Amino acid sequence: VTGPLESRFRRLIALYPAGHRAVYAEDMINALMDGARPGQRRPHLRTTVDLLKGAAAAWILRFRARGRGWQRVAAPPAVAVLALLILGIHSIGATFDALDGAQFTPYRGRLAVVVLLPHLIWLPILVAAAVGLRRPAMWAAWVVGIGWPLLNTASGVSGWAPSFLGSPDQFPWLPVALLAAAGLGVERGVRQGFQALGRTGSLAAVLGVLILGLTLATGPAGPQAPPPAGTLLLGPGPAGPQLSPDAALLLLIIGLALLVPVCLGAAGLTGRSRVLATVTAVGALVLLAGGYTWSGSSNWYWNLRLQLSSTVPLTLLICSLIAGLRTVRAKGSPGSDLSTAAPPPA
Amino acid sequence: MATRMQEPTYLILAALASGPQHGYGIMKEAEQLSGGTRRLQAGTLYAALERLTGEGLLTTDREEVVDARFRRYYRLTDDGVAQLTEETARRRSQAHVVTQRLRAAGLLARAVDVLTHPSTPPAIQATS
Repeated sequence: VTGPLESRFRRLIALYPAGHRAVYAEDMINALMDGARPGQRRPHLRTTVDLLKGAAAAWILRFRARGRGWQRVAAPPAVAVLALLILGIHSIGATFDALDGAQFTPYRGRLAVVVLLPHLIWLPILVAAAVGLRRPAMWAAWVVGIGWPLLNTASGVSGWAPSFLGSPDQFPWLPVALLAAAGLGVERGVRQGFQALGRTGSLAAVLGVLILGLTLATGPAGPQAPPPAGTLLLGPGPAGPQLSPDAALLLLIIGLALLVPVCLGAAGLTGRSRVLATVTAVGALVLLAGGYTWSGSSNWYWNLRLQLSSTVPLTLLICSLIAGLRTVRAKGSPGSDLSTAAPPPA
Repeated sequence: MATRMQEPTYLILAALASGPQHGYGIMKEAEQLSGGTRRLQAGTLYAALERLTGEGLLTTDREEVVDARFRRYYRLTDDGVAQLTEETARRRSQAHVVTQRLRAAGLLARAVDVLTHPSTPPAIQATS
């Protein structure tokens, strides 16, 4: 027979999450009843407050676990590291453009800061993450990734605003920024990312991203001057270093050949399938270049860069999605590490 | 990862150092370990038990029904023992530094007196 004290304890314990109750409720009731004085009919205020605090802690534990699970699914560490590296390279490209004052003639003073900062900031974020300042790096990534496009859109200076989803001629800023920010939310995520890629994979990723990023940033300029809005990654200024289209194409092929297998590996593709997919991706680039040249296009390299600047980050997004789904399938639902054992015997 | 362990967490892990305990046993043991100065409440205890189990520091040892009452016994995992050992060493090292400072300040005799004649003896007795 349940007495009034036990009933009141049970009412308080009903505030706990079901998973917690299934495991601990009976044991808790016994501990509470053992600690009660003979004849006691109501829980002490201190015990009541403590049980309420415990319920809040149990709920918070679950929400945090779900958050971490979501972050792992949205941005598996290996993909988050790649996203960060690509944004770091985007920063380098932006720096090249910033050094070329001619492109920023309309943007002076405070406006130039608003326009340039979201592009330049990713290199410091990458450095901060690398030296262990994960949380500041994560918050900076969230603020810059979401805040600056909103601010720039609201300010009406959309000409140089980082694009949200990207168009064929724009770097798809938001998805890559979100991947990087979510990845930074995972404790030890950056280290785990490099561990998941392995030593060879990490080296190939860094080299591939460096080669791709720098080639895209310093290759031959397109017919337009200045380059289209929001395409800082694409826009070498007239004063910037210039590569010949053929040399740039060769570097792009090398960069892709290094980066694509790492992205595919992060998405779980291995062995012959990965080699085949890499050859297909690089082959597609060569075919595209050949097609542009055959059609007599005078600015074939420019067109190629427009395609690459959106397809590389989008490939990263697709790899992330596949890797995330594999994580879910392998481990069950996010947060399943919380104990949900069967209820104890009555 | 040198995050400081909170007092209740330390007491819970320390209460399980001598062997598996059920919830109420941990509460009594922790009270004894703290010399009667700290009394863990059930809400704090079970929130910590769930967290520590999730972190892999504790695990369920066995479940029993005694006098129609369900009891779950908890024990330290290898990781739990390692963390407890590390935290104990850190606290001992901290105490050593403080003792040296007291000695340097000429207050050691008083400190030794406090340490050797505490008001509440820190006896550790296992409760079954």
